[in-house]
Amino acid sequence: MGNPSEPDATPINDSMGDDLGRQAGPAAEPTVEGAFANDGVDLTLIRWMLQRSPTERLRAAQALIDATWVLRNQSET
Amino acid sequence: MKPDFFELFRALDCAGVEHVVVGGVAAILEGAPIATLDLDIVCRFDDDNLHRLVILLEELEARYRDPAGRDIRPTLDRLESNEVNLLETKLGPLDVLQRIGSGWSWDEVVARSHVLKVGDLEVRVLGLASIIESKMVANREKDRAMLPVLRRTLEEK
Repeated sequence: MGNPSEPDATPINDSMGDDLGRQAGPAAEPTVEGAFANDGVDLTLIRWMLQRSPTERLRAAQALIDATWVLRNQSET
Repeated sequence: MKPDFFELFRALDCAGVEHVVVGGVAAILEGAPIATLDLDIVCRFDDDNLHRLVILLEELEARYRDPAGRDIRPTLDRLESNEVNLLETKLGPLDVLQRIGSGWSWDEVVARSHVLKVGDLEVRVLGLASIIESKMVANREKDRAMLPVLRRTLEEK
């Protein structure tokens, strides 16, 4: 996530695919069609998690906690 | 204390405490995009393992998350007499359970689990289908709220 050495921090440009095997198309327009299940669950977020190793998944959860703690401490001072 | 899941895993591993990770952290390791603050584990409740657990909890300065705010340490007797032990440690909240689901025994929990590589550690984690089943059995509002994400994650795996 915030670590530049992490694969998910690799910037995506128009001329090459990214580490997740996506091929960047020329001037493709984003869409949310198919992004959500009919119960509202964000399938793109699930796929994002599933493309990561268990270590990376836990690192993402830990990063969220760490960031929350920083914000909480800042708001207390 | 800020939860540190990696350090909690390392502490459990170093102490040799036999356990299976369940609950929210297990769901995350299995790929569900959810957030949680506590580490839930089911432990083997035999004398040797409980002894190792008590020593570890002492090192982690564990106390019960007592609603009345009392300072209660987890002793061997207390751990054994409570099926659910909600603890606060210097590495964050740690819930030590004797059972999960519809009273699954230790052997059954192990049979429903598998080992995942987390960093340089091997961590035994309850499988996602069993996590879902345990949430259905618990049937609290917070468990029901999590079910759609868990079910979709299982479908996508």
